[in-house]
Amino acid sequence: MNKILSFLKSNRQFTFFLFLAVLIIMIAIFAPVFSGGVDPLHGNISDALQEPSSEHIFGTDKVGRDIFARVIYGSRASLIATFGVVGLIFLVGSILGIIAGYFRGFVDSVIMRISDMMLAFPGLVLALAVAGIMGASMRNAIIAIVIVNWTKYARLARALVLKIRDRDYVSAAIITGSKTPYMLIKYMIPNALPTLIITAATDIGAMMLEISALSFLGFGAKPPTPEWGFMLNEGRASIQSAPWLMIFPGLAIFIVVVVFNMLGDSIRDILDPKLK
Amino acid sequence: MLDVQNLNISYGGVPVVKSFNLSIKKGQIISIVGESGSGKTSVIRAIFGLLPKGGDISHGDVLLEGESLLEYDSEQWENARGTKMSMIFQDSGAMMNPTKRIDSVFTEYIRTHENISKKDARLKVLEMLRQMHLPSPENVAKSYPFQLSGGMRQRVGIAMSMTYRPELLLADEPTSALDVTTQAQIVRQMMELRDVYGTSIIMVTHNIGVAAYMSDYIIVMKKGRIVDEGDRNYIISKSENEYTNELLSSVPSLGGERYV
Amino acid sequence: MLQIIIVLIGISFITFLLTYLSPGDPVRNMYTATGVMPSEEMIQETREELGLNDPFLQQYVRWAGNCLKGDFGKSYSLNKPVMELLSERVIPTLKLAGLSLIMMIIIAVPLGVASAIKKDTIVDYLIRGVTFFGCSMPNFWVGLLLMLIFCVKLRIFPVISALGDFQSLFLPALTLAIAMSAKYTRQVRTAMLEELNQDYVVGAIARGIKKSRIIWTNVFPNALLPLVTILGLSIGSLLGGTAVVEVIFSYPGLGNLAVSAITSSDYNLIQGYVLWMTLIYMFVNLIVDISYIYVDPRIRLKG
Repeated sequence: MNKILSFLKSNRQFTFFLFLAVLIIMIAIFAPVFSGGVDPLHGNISDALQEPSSEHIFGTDKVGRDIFARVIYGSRASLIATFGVVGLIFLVGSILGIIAGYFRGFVDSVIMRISDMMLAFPGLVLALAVAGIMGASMRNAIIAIVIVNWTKYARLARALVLKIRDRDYVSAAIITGSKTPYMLIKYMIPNALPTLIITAATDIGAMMLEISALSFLGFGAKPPTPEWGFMLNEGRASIQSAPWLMIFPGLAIFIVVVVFNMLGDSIRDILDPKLK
Repeated sequence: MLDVQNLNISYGGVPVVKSFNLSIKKGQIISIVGESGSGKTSVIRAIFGLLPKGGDISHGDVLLEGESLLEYDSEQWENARGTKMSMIFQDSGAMMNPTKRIDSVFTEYIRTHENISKKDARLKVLEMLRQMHLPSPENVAKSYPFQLSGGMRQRVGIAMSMTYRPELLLADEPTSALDVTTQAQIVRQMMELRDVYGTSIIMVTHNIGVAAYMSDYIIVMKKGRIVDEGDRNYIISKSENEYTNELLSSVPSLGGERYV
Repeated sequence: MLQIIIVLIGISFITFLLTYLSPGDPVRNMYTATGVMPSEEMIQETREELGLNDPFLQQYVRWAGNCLKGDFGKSYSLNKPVMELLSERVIPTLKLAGLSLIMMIIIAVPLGVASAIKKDTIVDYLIRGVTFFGCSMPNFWVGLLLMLIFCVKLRIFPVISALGDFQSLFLPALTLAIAMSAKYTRQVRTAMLEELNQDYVVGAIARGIKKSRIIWTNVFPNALLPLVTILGLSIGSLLGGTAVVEVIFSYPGLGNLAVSAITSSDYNLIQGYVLWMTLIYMFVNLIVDISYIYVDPRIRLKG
């Protein structure tokens, strides 16, 4: 416990943004508390399109729903989707990359050729097509973004594994008959993990932006679920009459992305000062 | 002509050279010998005002004909470097822009210090390359640095540094990257410079053999300090300094004579 | 060249497979689009007619062969050949992408260079701070904010950029440029710093070359070399970004067309869009690779 405290104390920047990130996650979990019990899904039509005021600090939308409550609840969809994407690309990419690097040969060529192809392709265009063809839903948006982004992790994991696989002690262990699962768990994964975690941490912000872009285009969350990207889409139509509809959800995305980007940067600085 | 007085150099507060003194006369060749980390390179970099970032002269002075180089502003340095004093590096090729041809790097240099046309500058380049006994100077001029051999690159570097017949030439391990035959040629060419133009040379090297062959005076450095110094004869045959003799004994000898 | 062909085959296969597996039924969509309520027989007949009951590979080969001949099929929702629709829209999108690249270079290069030359000064910190925030802003939000400021409040530009003239091009291009600039300012800075640390800079100083000359005629051009490659790679995200921005500004480009195609499950059009984008992307990268060989003598002569 004391160790953790002194670690937090000596890495002020990390601690600060970790605190903010935790706060954001708390807001998502305890959305009913933070929104003051206001229902994000139902509003009074007589309250429609009200400017921000003391009663509705972010104003209301065209069916009278409270924007503040919707922004607070919107954090749920955005965060779940983002962490889902980052977790999935991290898992899928790392596993495929480690397999490719460890077994080489045919498996390696197949995985790397597919990854080459993905790399040689405009990411968001493919994500759009995938999300669009499979039908608009948050799940499909996540799948689409994972399909486009796993290759980066696969390449990284593969390179890291290849580097360590050529070390003498690893070759020796393989020759003396160490079992494959043992080799993977004992040497390959621990060696590749730190760099992969850094990459995942610094990617959170970018993934959130991609998801909200898909949602914004209407290929993510379905109404009436509050989600920031889609709220911006709804606000776009009334940009002239009710600009607050697009200002606050965008601000929410911006702030959360800044916090997670800063957190990712400080994790990188702690784990790998060389990259600074 | 150049006096280094009680020079102390530190990197980020950590001292690397302590109370270094040197005095060189016109036409003299002095070598600073030592292992890597002895601070010898820091000394000539400091003389030339080229200490890397974080490096700092914490104490002492460098006087060129009585004028302190430490007081030079950037314009004075730009005027002095490459004309009054020049420097040769371990790999002169790496000190040239890799995306430019030799003649382009060379004419850029000439036209910095002399107000002449591109055409005249190019003629001068060819003339200088010819003086360095480079085969087919036209081809060398048209090449990129990476297309030349180490020895040729080094000769191009010497040709450049001699363009304005500097009074002082600083050489940082000028022969260390070369094979033995090429080393001998470069050493001879540097000595020729002194004989023809009366250039004073301060050379830094880890090879006491080369130093003994070329220099009038040798300074031996270890861990940032001068541990031994004296004229050539003293250092190669009379010095009783343990470290000097250790360095000397590592030079390969052929038939009783020291081979350099 | 071979790689391009392989990628094209792969991408066309994936897009075709996706459509093949997709939940929607193109025949039903087709009828719904024309407002006809088809009977089960009619659907079966049309399926047979269009070859939709053939085995998958046969369908793919036939489709790919048609694509090679420039026939991407017909758009159900717009009732026009896909080829015709795409060729109408490709020029506006290329214009948009091109202008935003130019704007990005105008913004990012001076900022990146200034940040590198003034490293660890207030100028550097300021530029790095701004680029950091720039990287964290969703580009569609930037677009909406620009629209709010310039179209709604200041009324300098029209809200809907449907005309495709310079006025309607400016804000969409600026939106894309702002997002890219943040990234590229960092890249330019890193490249400049790396170049400034090269030995030849010390060499040039030792020859008495003026600092400004070292920076502008040696370091700067060399720093731009690696950026050419990165630029080529980011054409991908730029092309994706055009879709978002085109929607915001109702700009008549490929992206806007694609989004409406996706919304109405117009598979032929989606396939055509994806293939065209891939082609554009790979073509740009080919040009970048070739020009890189040309501009960097180290690659040209070392072989």
